[in-house]
Order: sequence, then structure tokens, then C-alpha cells
Amino acid sequence: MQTGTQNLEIVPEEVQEDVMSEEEVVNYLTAVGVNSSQRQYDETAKKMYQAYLELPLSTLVNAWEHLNDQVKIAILNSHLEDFKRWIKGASNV
Amino acid sequence: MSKDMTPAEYMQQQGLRKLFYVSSRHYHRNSRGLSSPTPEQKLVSAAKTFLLKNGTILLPEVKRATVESDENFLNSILSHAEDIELNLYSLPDWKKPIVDLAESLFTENTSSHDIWNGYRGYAIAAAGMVDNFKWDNLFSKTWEVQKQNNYVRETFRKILKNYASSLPAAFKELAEAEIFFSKAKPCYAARGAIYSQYVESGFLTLKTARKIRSDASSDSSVAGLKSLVENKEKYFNYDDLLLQFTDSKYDDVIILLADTLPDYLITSLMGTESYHGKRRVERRLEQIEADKEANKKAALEGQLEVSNV
Repeated sequence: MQTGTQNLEIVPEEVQEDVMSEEEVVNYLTAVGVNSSQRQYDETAKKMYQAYLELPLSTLVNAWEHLNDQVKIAILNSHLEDFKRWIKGASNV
Repeated sequence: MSKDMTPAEYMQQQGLRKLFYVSSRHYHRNSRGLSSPTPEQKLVSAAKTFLLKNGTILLPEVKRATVESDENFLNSILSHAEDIELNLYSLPDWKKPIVDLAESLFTENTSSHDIWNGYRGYAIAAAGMVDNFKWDNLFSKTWEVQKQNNYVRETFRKILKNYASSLPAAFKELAEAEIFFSKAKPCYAARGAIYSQYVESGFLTLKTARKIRSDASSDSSVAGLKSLVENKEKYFNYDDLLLQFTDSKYDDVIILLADTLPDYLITSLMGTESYHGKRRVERRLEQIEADKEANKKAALEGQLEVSNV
């Protein structure tokens, strides 16, 4: 039988990189682009940011989980009527 | 920006530029055991890896960055490829862009100072991925700058290492002609770098070891000796090579020897005139004695345990 103490080696945690699909990558890139455009001052970025906020909610939802809170609020404001209708509909249930 | 770009396409392009403007170094330092990467860092890394392995989205931006010499963007791409050990040259879509980046080191627009100063790190990383890259040409281009500088840039070390490993005979000839057996020698930092690589490449002889020991600079001499200690397995006559340094006039050389000589060679430093060297030798001898005593005690205790059973 083996006696005595054994030296335990500390092994650094192995980093498993997540694998993403093309769709996930595109959605993530879009969100990164929107988050950074929101803080930009040049005319093109402002125009594109505004145009992006006005896209249909069904398109915007793809990047939603990676958008920052300011952008999410801007989307709510941009689609306020849709949200009001949705909230009213939900409160009647 | 293309005029007919949709808002979604524009955001994707901006996201791509932003993603590769953020340094990935923190994540990878963490992955080497300092701490675990955050979920956000893992996400960034996974997205970058996907984009490198599937070049369709990234390659048009690489083309733009190459034309505009967008150093930050290209460095970020190549450094992520190096971190995940992905040779982009082996991927069909990347072959030409990588060759173009590597070849850009030889254009008239790229000065040897820019390369030496590290402003073309991405191109050197690309060169490291290309088969049969002409490291001798790149070495010649930067050697002229390094010879006159008393500081060795990491970029130069990288080029030197690649040159020495791809063309060992040419490197040996250059080192011996321009440094070991030359009267007009380059600056001490350049000599140190060459000594270090020469030893690492396994070329050191008793004669060249003696030349390193007699160098006019303590730093250069230490660089050569340090490399010998780090590459001891490459030399069957390691002890003899070490002994070439024991009569050095430099404190730092004697101190390094006092710390690294095998126990049975430590007495070869007894005659040194270096004050700090002598103190270090005394400390080392005391340590050797203390270790011997501890070993004796442990052996005795082991014998007693056996006899008590």
C-alpha cells in the first residue's frame, strides 16, 4: 500500500473556447457596432444608428442580448407605440 | 463606407473594426493561468476565432487594412492567430493576404527603422507563418539599425531567431565574421543578442566562449553566459565551457556563475577578485554545506525508522 502524502500539482484551468455559429457571430458583431456607434459624433454613424433603431423589432431582436442598456432604451423609445400596444394587449390577458 | 450599405451591414462592419481594435492580450494572459476569463472575454475570443477560421466576413476588411496600413487592426488579427496557434497561411483564403503582408516588409515604404521599432509586428507575425520566408533579407535590413543601437528590440530578437533557425550556417558565418573575429564590432547590445543566439544555436566552442568572456562589455558577456546556462543540454562539454568564464573580470559574470555552477565546480571561483562574487560564492558554499547536513540527517532518521520496525 502506498503511504505518505503525495504532492498535488496545481494545474491551471483549461480554457474551453465556446464555438459560435455564423449567425451568432453576425448578431454579436452587429451589437458591438451598434453599441459603439451610439457614442459616435460623426454624421454617418449618427445617421446609421438612427436608421438601425428604426428597423423592425423582429430584426432588432437578433442582436438584443448583446446590446447595452442605453441602446435598448433607445429602441424602446423608437418603437414606443408598438410597445404600448403590446403592454396593453398583455395586461388584458 | 460603401454608399449602398444597409444599417445592419454598416453596424456589422463597425462591430468587426471594434472587435479587432480591442486587445485580446488580457484574455490570453488570463488563460495562461493567472485567472479565469470572464464570459465576455470568452465570447470575444470565440467570435475572433470564428472570423479567422471563416475568412469571408473578415478578409475584405483585411484588404482595406493592408492598403491603409491599419497597424492596430492587423496586429490584433495576427496576435489572435498566434495566441490560438492558427497558421493562417495554411488556410486557402488567407494564403495570399498573408504573403502580401509578409512581403510588405521589403517594400520601399517600409523603412528598416519602422520594422526594428516594432511598427510592423503584424507583418513579422505573417512572415512567421509563410513557408520559406527570406529571413536573411529581413535580418540584413534590420541588422544595420541594430548594430548602431544600444537597445535590443523584441522585434529584432524575433527576426534573429528565425534567421538563425532557418539558415544556421549563414548565421554562424555572420556572427563569427562580424563579431567574434572582427576588429570593428557592433554596439554591445547587438553583440549580446548575437552571443545569446549563437549559444542557443549550439555553436559555442572553447575558443568562442573565451571570446565572450573577454568581451569589452559586462552585459554582452552575461548575455552569452546566461544563454549557455539555459541551453546546457546542447553541449556535451558544458563544464569546460563554463570554466572559460571563471576568470572573468566582471562582477555580474562571477555572480551568475556562483549561482549556476554545479556544486563540484564552485571551487573554481575561489580565486576571483570580485568582492560581490566572493560573497556570493561564500553564500553558495554555506548552502551546499547546509544541504549536505540536511540530507545526512534525513538519511539517519530513515535508518532509525527502519531499525524500529
